[in-house]
Order: sequence, then structure tokens, then C-alpha cells
Amino acid sequence: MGKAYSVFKKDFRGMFLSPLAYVVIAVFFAFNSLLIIPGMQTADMRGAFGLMATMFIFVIPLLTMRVFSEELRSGTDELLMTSPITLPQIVIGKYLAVVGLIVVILAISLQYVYIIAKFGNPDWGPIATGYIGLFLLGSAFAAFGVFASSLTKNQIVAGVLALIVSLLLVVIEVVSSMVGPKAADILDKIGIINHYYDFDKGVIDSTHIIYYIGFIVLFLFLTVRSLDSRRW
Amino acid sequence: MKRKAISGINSFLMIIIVAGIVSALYYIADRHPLRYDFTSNKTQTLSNKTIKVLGGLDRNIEIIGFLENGSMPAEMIEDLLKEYRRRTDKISFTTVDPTAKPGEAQKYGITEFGVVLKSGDNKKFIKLKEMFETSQNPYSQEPPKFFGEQAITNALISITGKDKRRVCFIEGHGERDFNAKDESGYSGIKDLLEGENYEVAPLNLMTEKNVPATCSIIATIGPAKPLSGDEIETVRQYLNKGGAGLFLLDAMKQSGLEPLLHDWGVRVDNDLVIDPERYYGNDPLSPVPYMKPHKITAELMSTKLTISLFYARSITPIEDDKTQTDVETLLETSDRGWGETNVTDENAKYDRGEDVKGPVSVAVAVTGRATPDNDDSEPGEKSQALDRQTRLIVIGDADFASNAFVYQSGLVKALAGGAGNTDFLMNSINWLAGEEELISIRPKPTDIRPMNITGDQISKFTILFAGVVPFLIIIFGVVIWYRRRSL
Repeated sequence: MGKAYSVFKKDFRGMFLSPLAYVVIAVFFAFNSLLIIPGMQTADMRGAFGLMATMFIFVIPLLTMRVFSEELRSGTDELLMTSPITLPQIVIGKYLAVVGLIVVILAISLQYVYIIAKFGNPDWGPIATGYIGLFLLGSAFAAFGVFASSLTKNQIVAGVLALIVSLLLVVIEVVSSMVGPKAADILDKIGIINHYYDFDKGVIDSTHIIYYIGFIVLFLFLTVRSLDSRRW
Repeated sequence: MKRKAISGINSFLMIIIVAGIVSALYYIADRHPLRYDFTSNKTQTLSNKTIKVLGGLDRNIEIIGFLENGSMPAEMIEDLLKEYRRRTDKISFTTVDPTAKPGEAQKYGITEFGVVLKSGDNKKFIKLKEMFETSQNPYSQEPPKFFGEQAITNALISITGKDKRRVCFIEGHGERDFNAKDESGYSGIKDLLEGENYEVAPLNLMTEKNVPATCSIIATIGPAKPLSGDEIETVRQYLNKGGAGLFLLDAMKQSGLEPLLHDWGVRVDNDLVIDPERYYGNDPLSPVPYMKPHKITAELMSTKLTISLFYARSITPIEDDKTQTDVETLLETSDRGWGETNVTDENAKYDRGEDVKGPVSVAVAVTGRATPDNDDSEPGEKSQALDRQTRLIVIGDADFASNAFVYQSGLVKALAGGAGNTDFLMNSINWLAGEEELISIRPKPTDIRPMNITGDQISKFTILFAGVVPFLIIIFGVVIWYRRRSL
């Protein structure tokens, strides 16, 4: 695990050395604040969480697209492959670096909590559960994004692929309202947003936590397999 | 080449195994969820009563919310119905914003926000304002109470109920005809009743010696001639067994029911109500009574709809009441109103001793148990009869809910009088049917927590968090990037 941590440290630091992370975070908050703060009427975070969840669909592929594509393009993956660090350690370390950036974003969003706590008396339960949900949702998008970036050298292709699949996982919900109840039931279980709503309402349900963790484990595993296949 | 193929198959199998394990774990978790509601008022937790009702559903129910997209009530109702959906797959739920899709709303004859429940031919509409109760005191800081769970669960019970509730209209004495479409007819009320999942049937007490058990409510709407003694006796027995009766009695007509109603604590005066202070149009004989607080009037009072009557008689709770009934006034004229007993008098004025002094009660609601004295039901029925309280509504006018006062074509309100007239009658009938007490679920305060923030402060924070903070983040990033480059 120590090796995964060193990968995490290097990558997490690396993100803050390039301007991309700053631009993404700055635009994310400029846009969110413009929409969230003027609409604040009640002391809850549901509006803010909803918007941030939607923004994650677009923002997280920007953060994940270069994770492996960059290494594949520049050929540094050879170094990684031959280093004493195992593939799962590399994948976990790099993935956690992206998750670390999501945590930074969530931490900055506490500015909205500051406003509602200063000017209102919020119910803290749903705010806490909302953050847990948003964290899991973001982490799930990130897991797929990392997988997408392991498939291609081209950052843009990796980003667009992550964006499209994230959108599909969200749009499933819309589709499920149009099909029969049996099919809808299955689609509701697959859709990524359906598992987020309960957190937003203030409810923690083990089903959703297992869904997100399972989703993350599955795609990190696929990432390992995908990188491994390059050695064949 | 061979090595590649083996690696490929190997990898493929591993993926299948991991995907299988993940799916299996999810499947188990989905079957046995551990769930905890972290809201401080447990707003996301259904009551056991609702869970029981949902578990017993034996048919599919389509729920359509006609709600304003993104509004707080819409959000609350959607949250609630998602909890319902978790408990049963018999319910489907969609929302339609009637301002965006007026056609859909028209299809269901809906003119205001609310929720429609549909099961086969049965339909029920719950108005949004029936789900929220705001404090009567306009200065109250108390948040509105949310009755959504109670309203929707009750609607589920009523539309899946085996028997439709039936309102039996007594006929044969010149009563208003519920099939007549003219201005004095009651076809409008019949349509409204059928829209709320009631059946409407005629009841001829001359041929039927008993009120059929299928009648949930008996109604007599403005009889022009008195009922016969036998008929009154049939009505009396029905009421003694815990029946529900709606009596709309026009002024200057005798129904013969006066002694019977007297026994239930209601005095029906032979007068004509005049209110020189509150009347509709130019006619003091069209009084616009005040509403008194009661379940029936609560919603109308909060929406400030008015009720107007037309040639009404006074219907008064008997003060010295020896009966075991609870008689409450629903509608009452102003202090200056009175019940004129000398109806041929050209210069009508209040005559002390002769006329009924104002404020004059013109509508009452009666609840009571049949007293053992006048209970002549079979011993076996007795315990059952005592379980159920008799309910009566007596209103001193039958014109006020005739077609002239009902929604015309479902959209435009007729101009004949008070906008609250039909609502008042429908609420009364629902109360008689015991609708509101199918299930009573303690309403949850709608945990709305207002922000005490000024527009100025909002602008300040918007500039800070949408402008200054992102700008600083970019500056910071540029500085770091620049320093690294120049190293």
C-alpha cells in the first residue's frame, strides 16, 4: 500500500503543478456560484448538490482523461510497467489522486454551507448525507474516467468516452420512465443517479453504498486488465 | 501468439468473475437494505400504516403529479412517492408540469396543482392545498404542515376499495334532479362526485322499505313536498344505525324531516334569511355567510373562497340539547342578519320575538352516536352500529350548489355566486363519507428552513464566490505553473 501511496502523492502533486486543475476548479465554482447563490431561499444544500452532481458529469472526465492516456502517449507507461510497483498499486494510486481532487472540490463547496449556516438554521443530517452521496457519485464517475483513459493514448478520446458513458448512466433514468415496469426496475438499478437521490434526501441506504463501491471496484479492475493486456 | 490467446481468455474469465461477485453483492444488498433517515424530522420515513397499505395493494396504480417543476411542494411529493415506490412495484409515478403541458391537465380535467391517482376506471384527484396546511394566523412563523402521506395513502385506500362509495339521492318529492342539466339541476354535482370516485344513485323510499346497504350517504336535495311518515321512519332508522345524511332544505318548503332533525339537535326554522351586511350582488336574500372553523371549511377559509346562498333558511344547533350529539355551525350570517318569518312582509325588518336573531346559522354538521333508546337495530348489529358515528350535514338552501353555481365546462366559473359553493358541498360529502378519517397519519411539519438573507448580501456573496474566489484560484495556479517553468 505504501507504493500505491507514493503513486498517489506524485500524481496528486502533479495535478496541482499543471494549470488544468486550477482552471477546471475555478470555472466549476464560478459557474456553480452564479447559479446557486442567487437562488438560495431555504437553508438546505439540495439545489447546490443537484447542480454539482450534474457538473461532475462534465468536469470529472476533464480530470481523468489524462491519467493513463498521457503516460501511454509519452511512453512513460513502459517505465511504470517495468517498475517494482504492481499494476493494481499504480491504478489505485492514480485513481486516489483524482479522488483527492474531488475531495478538494467538495471542500471548497463548503463555502455554500457557510452561507446557509450563517443566514439560516440548516438541518445537518441531509447535508452530511448529501456530501457522502456526492463523494461516492464523483468517485464512481472518476473510476470510469480512469478506465477510459487506460484504453487510448488520445486524451480527447478518453475524455469524450468518459463523458458519453457518464451521460448514458444518467440518462438511463429518463429511459426507465418510458419502458415497462419490469425493465424500468432493472434500469433503475443500473442507473447511477438513482442511487444518489436517497443521499440527497437525507437517507443512507446500504444498497447505494454497495452499488458505488462495486462500480468503482469493477472499473478499477477493468483498468488493471486493460493495462495488463498491453504487456501481452 | 498462443501466449496472447491464453492471456486473453484468462483476463476475460477474471473480468467475468469479478463482475459476477460485484453483481452478487449488489443483489444481496438490494434485497436486504439497511436504511437510516438522517433528517431531523424523519421526513423520509413512511408510517407503518402506509407500509401496510402498500403491502396490500393488489392492482396497479398510476400516479400523476400535476406539479410545478422544481417547486418545493413538487420536490416533497416526489420524495414521498419515491419512498412509496421502494415499497411496492404496483405504483408508477410521473410528473407533468401543467403550465408546460396544459393538454395533459385538460385530459384529466385538472385546473389546479395536485396529484391524480388512477387505477382502472377509478380516479382520484388530490389538490395540492389539501396536502399542505398553513397556519390560520398570517403572522405565524410556523412552517406549513405536510399532509401528503395521509392524503395519498387515503386516496390509495379509497380507489382500491372494493366498493365504490355511493350517494343515494332520495326522490319522489320534487327534489333536485341529479341528471338535470338546467340551472336548477344537480348534474354538475353528479359529475364532480363521479370524478371523486363516488357513484350516484336514486333512492325511492316508497318502494324501498329500507335504505340499501350499498348507500354510503343518503341525500335529500330541496324536497318540495314533505316525505311521508313511513319514509321518515326509514330515514330515522338508517341514521340510528350510524348512517350519513345530507339534507339541503330550501326555504318556504316543508320536508317533514324537521322533527327528525330536531331529535339530532338541529332546529330547522321556517324563515327566510336576510343579511343586509353581507350579500351577493344586489340581493340581501343572497347572503354571503361567514365560515366557522371545521374540517369541512378549513381549506376554504385558508383559500378565502366565499360561499353565497340563495333564499336560505336558518338551521340552528339546539342550545338546550338533550341529545348526545355534537352540532357545529358551519356557516353563519353577520350579526345584522336575521331569519324573517313573515316572508310576505314587504318591509322586512327584524321583529324581536318573531324572527330568528342574527348571527343566523345556515348550515350545521352533526356527529353523534345513536342513543340506546332510539336504537332498535338487531342485537347482532348493535355493537357494529355503535362503532360508527352518525353524521349529518344540514344546509338551509339547495340552490347554492345547483348547476348555476358549478364550474362550467370545467374551466370557467359560472358567475352566479360564491366560488366556494361547490367545494363546500363536496367537502361536506367527503366528510359524511368519513373520507378524512380513513387513516390519520400525523402530519410532518414541512421542515422548510428559511434563509434570513438580503438581496444585497446575496449579491455580495455571488461576487465573492463566483468572481473573487475562482479568480484567486486561477492566479494561484498561474503563479505555481510559472514558477515551475522558470525553474
